[in-house]
Amino acid sequence: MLLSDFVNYLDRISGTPKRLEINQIMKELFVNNKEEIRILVYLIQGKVAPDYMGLEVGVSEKTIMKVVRKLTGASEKEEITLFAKTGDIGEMVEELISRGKQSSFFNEKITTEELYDILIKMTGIKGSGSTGTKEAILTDLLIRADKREAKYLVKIITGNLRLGVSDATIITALRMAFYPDGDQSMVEEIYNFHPDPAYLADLLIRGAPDLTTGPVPFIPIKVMLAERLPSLEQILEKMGGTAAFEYKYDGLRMQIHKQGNIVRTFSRGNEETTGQFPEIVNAVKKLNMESLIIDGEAVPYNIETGEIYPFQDVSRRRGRIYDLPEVSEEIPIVVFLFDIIYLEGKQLNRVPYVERRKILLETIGDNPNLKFATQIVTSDKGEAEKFFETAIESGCEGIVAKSMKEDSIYRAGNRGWIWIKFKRDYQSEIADSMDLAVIGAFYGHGRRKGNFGALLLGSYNREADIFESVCKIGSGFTDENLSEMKVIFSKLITDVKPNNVNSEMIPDVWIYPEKIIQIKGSEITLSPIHTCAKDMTGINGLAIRFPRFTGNWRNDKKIEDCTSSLEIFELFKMQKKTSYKEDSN
Amino acid sequence: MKLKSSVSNLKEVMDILSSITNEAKLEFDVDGLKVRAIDSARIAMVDLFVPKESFISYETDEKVEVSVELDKIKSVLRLASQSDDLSLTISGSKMKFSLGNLTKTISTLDTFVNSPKLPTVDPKNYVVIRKADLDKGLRAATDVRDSIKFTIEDKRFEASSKSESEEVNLVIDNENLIEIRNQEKASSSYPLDYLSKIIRAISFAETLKIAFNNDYPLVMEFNFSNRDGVKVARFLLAPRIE
Repeated sequence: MLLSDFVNYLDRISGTPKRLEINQIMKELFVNNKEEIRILVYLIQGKVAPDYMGLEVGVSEKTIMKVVRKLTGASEKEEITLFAKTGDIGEMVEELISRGKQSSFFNEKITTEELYDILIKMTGIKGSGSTGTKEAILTDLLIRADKREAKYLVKIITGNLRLGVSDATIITALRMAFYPDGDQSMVEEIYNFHPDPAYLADLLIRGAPDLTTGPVPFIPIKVMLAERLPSLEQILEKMGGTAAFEYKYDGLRMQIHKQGNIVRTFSRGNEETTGQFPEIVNAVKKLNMESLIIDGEAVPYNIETGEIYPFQDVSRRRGRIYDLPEVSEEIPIVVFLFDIIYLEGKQLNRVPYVERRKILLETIGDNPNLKFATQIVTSDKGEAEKFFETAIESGCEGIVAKSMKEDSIYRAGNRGWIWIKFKRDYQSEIADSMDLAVIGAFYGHGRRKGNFGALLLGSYNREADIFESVCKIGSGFTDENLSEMKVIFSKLITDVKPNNVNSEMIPDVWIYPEKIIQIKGSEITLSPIHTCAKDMTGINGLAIRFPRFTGNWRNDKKIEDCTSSLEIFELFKMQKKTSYKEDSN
Repeated sequence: MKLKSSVSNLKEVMDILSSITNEAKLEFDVDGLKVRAIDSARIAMVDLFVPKESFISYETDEKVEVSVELDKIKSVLRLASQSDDLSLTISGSKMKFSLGNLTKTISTLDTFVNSPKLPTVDPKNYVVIRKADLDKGLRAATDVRDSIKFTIEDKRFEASSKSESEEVNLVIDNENLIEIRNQEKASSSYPLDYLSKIIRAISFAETLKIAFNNDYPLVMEFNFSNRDGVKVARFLLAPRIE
């Protein structure tokens, strides 16, 4: 299709805050342009391939600004002023081009197919001279683009499309378009094992969702998650009397894929982390298996003393590619494995947990870098409690109960009652930290003048595919935290409320939801102002009282993986139950 | 295909072409050498014809087309002095140059460089101007802005450039113009770097014919050096729409 027609759709999507309308517009786009569905699904996400492939177009803002200066005759000063005013490079380019632009002979209209091919080609241009080549390609594109096309082109190239369209929105639109009467959970399962909406689009268009869907080496899955309950008694009851309990390690979730002699590791957010954990990669390479996928938690661990180090010591390694061998010696990493979902060409996701655990133990054997999550099987509450105490003493954050029943399959991306986590005491204060989306910011006063002083945070309402405000946070920040925030959020600040945010509290600036912050709070209460879980409680939303920053930015999580409104609602209900119990005592 | 030429003749062809591109398709047919080239951003074009009479000798039975990297030919030309003569033989994908007792063979490109189609331009307004006058205007505008605005109005030609802090105006009236055709007011802006490069590449011509309309491509015609008679080359430039 013509880029100008595609841009009309993008304008319509970014022009409405109504989720249903966005679904309709996207459905229309997909139905009318079936033959290039893959391309459109990628472009609408502002990317060329799923994140785990690590493809980057690699054109800097500096290069774009240089080309735009050449084509419009704008001065550097004009650009900088305009950039500061609009806060968005796409809008800056649109404005400059509307003031005048170099024309050319033979202006063929750009098509989405051509644009996609060019972007893919650019991901492969590297090394010396690549900047010049990319500059020439960009010049050609921008000379042919009108101002609206140019705006979106630049946003896509720099990875700043920000339409407020998540994978969930795309999947809903795809279902509406090509699988209206089909099984929704089937579609979700396919996506959770292959989190690439373009792959799903292909399947749905062929009209044959694959019933035997499951994990495939080197395609990172959405890992299985656990529900929570406030007491071990309730957990045992829910599990039918008996359950397996495993330590819940406080590290980084890691899925490890092996095929032949190649091993790759992925984070919870499906980013590739292979380069950051050489000792794990090597340990798995040496395993005598042709192919496998295993799931576990990477933890800094002293093999001699059995001591577990804090999470932050691992976090420091993320993204630090260059001094790895050194760091690796300082903090040895061990992965505590708890699941296997693929082995020697066979998908094990539908095999019951008890058997999977057995296969895991037999497959991996004794290995200094690969250990197994400590486990007991019990129906006794006292024994479970003792096990929990030992877990905490060993530096774990709690335990996870796993169903021993036949239907205890590996459900990718799901928080089902097959796994239930238990962390310390849920009574007095919310024991578990929460990972919330930053949706706005407030300027500071006094000592914080000139910086942001507080942030507006939101939870993700999965059903509505929108971020709902849940608290304003100003505690727990160091001066350094505060002063770096302007940089952290510089590209995400916007004057208008993003179309995927629902908040009645108006911050000084809105922030496009992309960054996740970890907080702790004391209590969840009903709130007349916050919108979290409003559709679940009825009249009021939910708010977190006394929120404070834990010091962690959750860069390993995708924004849709932040704490959901439903989870907060569940915590709220749980809290009510326990306080009722306290009262009756 | 075989030809013999003065070095200066070929050098000017290469200078003019390489002011906009580094790759071009050379067409040698029975009448002479034809080249139509466009720059990668499709902002400027050159269309030139060197008749066979311009060469010392020129032999071909059929049309021969070769696409070449201009830098390779220029590196051969740099081995000679302007007054030397040079022979060229093309067979298959090889171009063999002979300079006295020196020969150098270069390979042509595997793929043909496309020759662009020329847009039809029928200007109602044009001026014939001394190259030195235009050059002065371009040089004055260099620090002001990266584009220059040409205007024909009331039988005079004006080249101007304006930024927030500076302004340059070059006015050439009827008496100082060699020729003018002015049916209506015409005004259009063009990228300065392209103009400066082509002016530097033209060595033979002393006057230029510049035709344009409002927000319309510029067509610059100029004489082209040869041995017998005068031939014309054309340079076309897309406007900066403001």
